[in-house]
Amino acid sequence: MDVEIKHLQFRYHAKEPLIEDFSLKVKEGEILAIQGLSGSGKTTLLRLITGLETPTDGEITIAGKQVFGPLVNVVPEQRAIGMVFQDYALFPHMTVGQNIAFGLKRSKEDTQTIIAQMLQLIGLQAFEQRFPYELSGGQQQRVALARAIAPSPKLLLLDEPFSNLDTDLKQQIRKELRWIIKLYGVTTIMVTHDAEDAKVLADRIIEFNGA
Amino acid sequence: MTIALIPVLFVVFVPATSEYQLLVDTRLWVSVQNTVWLIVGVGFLSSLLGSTAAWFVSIYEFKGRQFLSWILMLPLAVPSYILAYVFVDVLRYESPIQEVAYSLLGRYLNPMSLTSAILLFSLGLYPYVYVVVRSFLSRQSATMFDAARLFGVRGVKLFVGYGLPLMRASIISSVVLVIMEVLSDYGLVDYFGIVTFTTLIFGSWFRFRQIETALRFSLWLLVVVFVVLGAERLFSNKRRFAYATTKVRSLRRMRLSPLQQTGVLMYLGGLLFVSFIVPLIQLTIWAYQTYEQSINFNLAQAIVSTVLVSVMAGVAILVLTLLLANIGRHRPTVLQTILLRITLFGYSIPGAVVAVIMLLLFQRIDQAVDVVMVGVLGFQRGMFLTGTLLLLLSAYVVRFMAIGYQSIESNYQKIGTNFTNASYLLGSGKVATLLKVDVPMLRQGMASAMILVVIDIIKELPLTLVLRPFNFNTLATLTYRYAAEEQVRMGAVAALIMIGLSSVIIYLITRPRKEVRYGR
Repeated sequence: MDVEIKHLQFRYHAKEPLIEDFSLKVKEGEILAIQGLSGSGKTTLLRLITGLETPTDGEITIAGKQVFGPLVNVVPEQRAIGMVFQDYALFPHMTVGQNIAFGLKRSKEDTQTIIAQMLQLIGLQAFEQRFPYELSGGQQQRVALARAIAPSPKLLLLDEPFSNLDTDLKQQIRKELRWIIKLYGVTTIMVTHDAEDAKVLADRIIEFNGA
Repeated sequence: MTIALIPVLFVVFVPATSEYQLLVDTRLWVSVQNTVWLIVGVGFLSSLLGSTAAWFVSIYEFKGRQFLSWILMLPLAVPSYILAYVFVDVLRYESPIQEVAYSLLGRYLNPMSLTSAILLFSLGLYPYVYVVVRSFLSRQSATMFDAARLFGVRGVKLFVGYGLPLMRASIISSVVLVIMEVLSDYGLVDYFGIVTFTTLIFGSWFRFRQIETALRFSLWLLVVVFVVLGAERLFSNKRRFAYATTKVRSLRRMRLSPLQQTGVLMYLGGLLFVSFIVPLIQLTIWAYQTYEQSINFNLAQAIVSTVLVSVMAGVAILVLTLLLANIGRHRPTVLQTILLRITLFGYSIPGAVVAVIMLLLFQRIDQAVDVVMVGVLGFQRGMFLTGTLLLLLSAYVVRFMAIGYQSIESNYQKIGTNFTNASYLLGSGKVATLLKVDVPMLRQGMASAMILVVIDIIKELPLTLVLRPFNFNTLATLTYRYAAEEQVRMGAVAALIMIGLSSVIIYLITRPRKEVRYGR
């Protein structure tokens, strides 16, 4: 088992739990889609996995290493998780190249090599010096994906990856995204409210309604 | 700041001095009356001037609108006390205006009365209301106004029946700023001989050298501040209007007939003329008359000092604000929230009160250090903090922190937390994220925070008067000193430089800029 979540619980302050006794297993290299209505706590679930939010109870194990448990709480920057945000969150003051290089802690030559590989992977070789606002929505999303997988994360998270794209673009980009992720072989969890997204991109789909 | 507040509470237990009793018996009631009149008068008049001006430039289209809409902010650069110096001279007995007044009213106008204080404060401070209301109106949806127009509501009816209720919250919050400025003022009321809490605080300190007495009056003044803030809560009722739709079309301005245009232009032009152009002309004349004596070493020193302290305090505030805002945006704990609130309260505390509290705090620290020095080294070192620039700078930080915070905080809100989170997930720690992601993205917010702080410090008078080191003058204190020595004209060059600096800064904040686009 590559990713395992056991009895996860989360509540804001003293309120009703938003997520109650949630468990999940994802195999290595698998793309799992978590499908649910908006407001059901899908994004919160991703934030709990990343460590940006702290669960009230439960355990999270990634690649055999417990990152959250009764005695453990690894900070987000050390969990080796890549995430593509719903609005991509590309740093606007950095070029495409600098964005992709942001998470790389390597020598200059290595970094350059990885940037080149990534740009080739997402088919944006000519865009290294461009700024995010000079890119189309679909291009921005591919850069966000490249930035997330460049440091070779143990787990990739996608938050509503297609909600910002036009319908006619979606079809093509879904397939492309799946191809890239599979090529890279990274274990992936995506959340979406769109059944079509889940069907095209994921190996397995689960329904989620929080508590 | 929290620590600084503690001595204020202790003063209640110390027996009052006879001087305090004397001032309470003879001056307290007068100062309560004056303060109430000032609050009511300036509150009403400045909101009237500010909101009508904002309404005209936002709702109607007329020649020169864009230019006027910008330049109507400029009176912000003219401190109230300088308006006072100018108008007392404009209205001196032999002036033509007084002749006209005498022939009409049968008596001369008293330029140093409470009424003229209300007028001058309103002229100098209406831009606070103007700026806030204008920016509120610019965010309103056109469709709402279209709806009103379809019902045939126009002109004054549109303003009273439709505009005022809509603008209410923004008028109230900006009038509170105006009132805080009035309560803080020392220069104007001192020049006019109007007794207020601020003049009582100053009297206790400068005349009697009794800091406890000054503190007692500070407490009185704080009570007034709390009453005002309480009233704001009561009246604004936290009414926030939200749109039912996300499609907000900006206002389409209504055309005016030539006659109406003339009327509007005369009103706005008149406002600008009295509040900005007259002072500028008068100061220029004085400057021309006195420049040979007034451009001297003292002036040069004051310029350098003003720039130095405002930049130093600005940088300190920026650094502290960045740290605070960072705490504020990531789910602060209860304790952090309380600390944040207290820090931001500094701007509501009048300068004189901040001065007294900081002075007392630094004296206590000095005394404590002295005790240790005597114990360890066997000799006294004397005051080593009180009377230094450090005291003045820390007081500026306490007083103006909130301005910097608001600017940075609102930028942080615009950016959101996703960029920061993305950086964490890509393996960067807190400090690296702050330096590599937050700071570059906050550049504009930091610049405007710095600018706002600097403009306030350039004009600041009461706090600087009390806490400045010996022989240390800013442009504001230099102008004040000339006025206090009945040499108002000698301060004209300093005043002009002050207004010039502030105007340039206002231009820098408000000029149209290329928007930096984030995200999509």
